Amino acid sequence: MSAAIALPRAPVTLPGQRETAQVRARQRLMIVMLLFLLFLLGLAVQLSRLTILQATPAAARVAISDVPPRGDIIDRNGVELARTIDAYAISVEPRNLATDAHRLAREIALILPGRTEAQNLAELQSHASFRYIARRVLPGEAKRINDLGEPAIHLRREAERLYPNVNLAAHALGYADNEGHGQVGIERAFDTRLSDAATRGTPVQLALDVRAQQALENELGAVMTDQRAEGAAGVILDVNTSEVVAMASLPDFDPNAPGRSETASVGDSPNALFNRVTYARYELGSTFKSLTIAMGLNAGTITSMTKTYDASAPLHIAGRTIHDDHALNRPLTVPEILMHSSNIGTARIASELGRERQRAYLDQLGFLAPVQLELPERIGPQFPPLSNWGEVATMTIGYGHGISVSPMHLATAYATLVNGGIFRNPTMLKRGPGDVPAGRRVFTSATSDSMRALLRMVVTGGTGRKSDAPGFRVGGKTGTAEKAGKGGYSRGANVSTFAVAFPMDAPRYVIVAMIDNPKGSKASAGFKTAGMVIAPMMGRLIERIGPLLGVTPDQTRDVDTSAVLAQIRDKAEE
Amino acid sequence: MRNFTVNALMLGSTMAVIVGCYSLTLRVSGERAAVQKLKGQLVADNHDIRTLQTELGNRSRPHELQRWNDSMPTLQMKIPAAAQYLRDPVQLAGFVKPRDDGGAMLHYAVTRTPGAQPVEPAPPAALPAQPPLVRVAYTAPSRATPRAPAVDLDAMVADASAHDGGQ
Repeated sequence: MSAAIALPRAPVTLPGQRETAQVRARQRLMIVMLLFLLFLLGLAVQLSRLTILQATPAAARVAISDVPPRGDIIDRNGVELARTIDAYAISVEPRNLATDAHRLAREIALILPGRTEAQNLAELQSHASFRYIARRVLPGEAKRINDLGEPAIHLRREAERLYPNVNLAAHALGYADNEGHGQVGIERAFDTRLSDAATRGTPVQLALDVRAQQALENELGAVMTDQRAEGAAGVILDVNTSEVVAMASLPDFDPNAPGRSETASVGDSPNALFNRVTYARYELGSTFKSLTIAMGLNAGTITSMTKTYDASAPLHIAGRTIHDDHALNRPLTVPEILMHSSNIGTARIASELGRERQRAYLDQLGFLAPVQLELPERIGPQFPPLSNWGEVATMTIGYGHGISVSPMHLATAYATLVNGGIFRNPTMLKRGPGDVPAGRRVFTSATSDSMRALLRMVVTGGTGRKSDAPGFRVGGKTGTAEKAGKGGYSRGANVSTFAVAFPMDAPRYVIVAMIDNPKGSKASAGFKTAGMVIAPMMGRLIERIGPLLGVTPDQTRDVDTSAVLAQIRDKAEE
Repeated sequence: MRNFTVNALMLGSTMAVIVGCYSLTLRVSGERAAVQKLKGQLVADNHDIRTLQTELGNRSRPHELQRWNDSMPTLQMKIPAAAQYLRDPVQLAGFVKPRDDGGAMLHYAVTRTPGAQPVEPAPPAALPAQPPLVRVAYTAPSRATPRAPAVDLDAMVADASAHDGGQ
């Protein structure tokens, strides 16, 4: 048996075919080599471009953005109150120190005046792997430290919050911590708005006016020092928009270095961080009398300015005696009650008004709740519970005892009293002409007109005489209350308050100033009353800020007080 | 050979296109880098402006200004008194001194108000050594009464000039 096997046929090669294939292969090889060459050339060009044209690494290039890491805060005229700047933080790795720690500590102390040699040494000899020596260091100082040549010391640029006006409006602004988070005041209230990338490019514009703020702090500080007082508070409010034009609480602090007070009379006091305008409550005394009279006028229980209330003898009720400091021992008309600051007369007006109506008015004036303001530091008022709010409480609250509120509460109520009777919650933000809320009506415009005349009368002939800045038509009411403490009232310690508005013929601003525990001085002839302690300061303050805020003095205009003065039978006493 | 030439030409033209495109890319990239640099410079300048503004604001802060004013004997500026504020130009005109020939140098546009009585200048002979201030009578315009039309001062001046020229 045999098998046939088919052998594969050998390829047929034509003459010259081999040479052609070799040529083609060489061409292909050359093309590939050229492509490689091109690729290498491209790489070389790209490397040159990266190393020469774009030599600076991306991280070191300036960020193409004007948006600050945290938004600015400006006043109503665009003056900067808070901004973020670049500063240097100096840190050390103590374990890697190459030079003598004592010598280094001494040299750093010479460069940074705020740091002692001992403080520096403690950081340099720390057992930690990383310590800050100083933050918020100026570029010049940072360069000098860098020139020391210590490899374990590092300089890092970081964003720092700066308050260019130092202590000015410190309580209103608050401060942000080293990580850029708002801790107090506006910084805390608008923390999200100030740190959000979408919104931080636009500054937060406050209603504050730095000129008025400076004047208020300066005048309050002078009185506080003169009276050796524990503290002082003041607020200036636009009566028509309820914008807070100035807010001062003394002692204050430097928000650039919170915790370190520069107020010489108080020193490093925890009180310095405490906003007395919104976060403290006081019995504000006789300043409440004008509110009680307004309630009576509005409710119709005071039918006429000629109506008299018996103040011929101290008022005994429920085991308690209400008496006048300067008793006239006769029936008093309504203007006389306010001008002589009669407790008995006001108590009778409050009693006639009744508890329910008094509570309703106080509620509408915002006295029964924390003041509605953007600041997080707001305190609730203190007043008797309904079960304990009897006739005695009604009477005492009528003249400002038995109810504790913040000075901001009082300023808002006085704005309502003189602006035609409309209550608006105060605001720290600037309001445009179309942004002013409608508010709610508490008093009629007729009541408001009557109160303007009465308050003007108190300044022209009553306890507020020393605040009568010529041409500014000032009106207001003083109040001096014994300071309430832990064991009851302190007979030696007062809280002196003065609430004014100007110009009284067309009110624009309300100012409330309070001095906590004045001691009396030569300037106040030893008195601790608001009429002697605060009224002179108030006059000076109005003369300073009036023109700045658009109120020009005019001695040819005034409020017609003839109708109320006709009801005064003798001169007022302090 | 022909194929080689064609291929070389194709390769050459491709390289030319590549090189051309790449040089264009490089140029665009260079321009972009310049724009980027300019933007960076703008930001840096803005940053410098902010820094300078901060320093300026810090040095001229109200507290410092007041301290300077209170401490420098040459400053010591006080609050203007109420009488130093003028209500209107007419009140200002009341402080103008008369000329030697008896005419008052009043060149202010005034509004005629009801009840206003212009004061005639005193004759030169009656003038004392120190000429007194001319007081222009002024009545505050009542809000209830509508204002009379303002006097056209230009017309008055033109009339007076024409009258002077005619004499």
